[in-house]
Formats: sequence, C-alpha cells, structure tokens
Amino acid sequence: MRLRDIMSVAVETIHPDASVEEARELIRRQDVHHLVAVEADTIVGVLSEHAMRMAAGDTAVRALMSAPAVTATPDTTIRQAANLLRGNHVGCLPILDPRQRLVGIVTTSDLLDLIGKGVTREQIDGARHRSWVPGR
Amino acid sequence: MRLSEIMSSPAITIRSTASAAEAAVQMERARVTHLVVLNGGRQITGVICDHDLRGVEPGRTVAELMSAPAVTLPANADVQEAAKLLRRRDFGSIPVLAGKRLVGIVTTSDLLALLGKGALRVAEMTPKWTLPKRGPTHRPERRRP
Repeated sequence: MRLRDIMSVAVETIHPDASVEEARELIRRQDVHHLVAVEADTIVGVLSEHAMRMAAGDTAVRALMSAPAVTATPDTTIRQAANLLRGNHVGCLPILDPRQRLVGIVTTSDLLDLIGKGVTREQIDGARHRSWVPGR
Repeated sequence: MRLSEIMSSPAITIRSTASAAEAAVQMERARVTHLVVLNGGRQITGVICDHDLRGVEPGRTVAELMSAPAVTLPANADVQEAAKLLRRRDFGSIPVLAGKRLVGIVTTSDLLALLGKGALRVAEMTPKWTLPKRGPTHRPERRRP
C-alpha cells in the first residue's frame, strides 16, 4: 500500500503571513485539521490545528508552522511515511507529484486509522503481494 | 501486540498547578514530549505535550493548557485500541495503567514506530470460508433456460 491509496486529495493552503484567525476560519470552513503554508508557489511549512490551539488570533502562521515542510510522493510506502512523520516530529506530509505540484496530504490520523483497522505487513511495506485464495 | 510491549515506562508526571515553564523544563530534563498531569490527590487529570507549550506565556498553569480529561488504557490493551482512541480524540498520548497504578505512557510516535519498523502484525487477513451446502443466505435467482 502506498500513500496514493490513503491520501486526502483536498488540501487547503494558506500564506505564511496570514493570521491565526484566518487560519482558524479556513480550518473551520473546510473542516480540515492541517493547512499547507505556500509562498510564491513553494511549500514552506505546515500548520496543524493543534499547534495554534492556545495562540492569539493576530499571531502569524509563520510563527507557529512546522518548517521546512517534510514532503512525500504518491509512491512513498506506508512504512516510509511513518518514519518521515516520526523522525521529523510533524503531523502531516504534503504529497507532491514528480512536477512538484501539491496533489494530496497524509496525516498521522490516516496512519492511526490503518493501525486501528488492522494493517498487514505486506500493506506497510507496499509489496505487490498477491493473496492466497483457497481453490484458486 | 499489547501496550505493555511498546509503552515508555515509567511515565513522567507533573502537577496540574505547575507552570508552563516548569513543564518545559521537566520535558527537557526527561527528554520526553508528553507528561501525565496529576492533581493534588495524585490522580491523573490530563496529559500535556510540547505542542501545548509552544508560544504560550510561561506563567500559565499546566491545568489551563493540558488536554483533559485523560483517557487511560490498561497495559494489556491492544495497540489497535490505542490507535482508535488516539485517532478519535484530540491528544497524542495515553497513560497506561496496571490496575489503578500508572505504569507507562503510549504516544502516537510509539505507534508510528511500529509501522516504521514494519513490526506491526495485527489482524492478518484470513480467507473467508464457506461450508458446502451452507453458502450465503441470499443467493441470486437461478436463470431458467
């Protein structure tokens, strides 16, 4: 299983100089938990709802976002994604296609979902595994 | 896999009346990112993580900043259960209990580590068997020639 199989394609972006108030409004309106900070068509960071929980409304997004953003590709495996999230202490990975366009986002919650549902080793490694089916 | 196999033990604690600055010092000293918050009666009242302390005035109390109430799990609970709880709620750690005693803490990071190591083997997909002559109850109608 790869990130293309679990990523959310609806990604909300915000300018790093926008205020926390604007970010909160966007998060509420779009019903998301993470925003990708984009400046001059470049991803410069990510902002989680949790990170601005206690911040004043006039604080700039730049002050609270995790930067630089750690990104992945649609072909990144679940296992690699877990290591990226954990190793960089971030809550989400913006997904970029080979042309460096933002095509999706994967969050820690998506991976927790997999564990909660019961993920198999083959899915974690992204191996092209063919299940054995009785009578085949 | 049980929480007792992956939890960090012992869990580092802090009083709910402590300040944000004290919590930050405690985290740095113990090199952890999550603390279990205890009240005056040594009962678990919440959890606090480094994100909760980011950008706040150092004088604010832990009780104001923590995620509460704390949801706990027994040490013999399954990692799947912990993942579901962490997914549904707005916090990144679960204090682990043996009876009523705090014995450890499990964080989102611990669960990601399992995925990262490829060590997670839960709910292996099993083939679905159907006994002969006891197939599905809703069979499609047979076509008549």
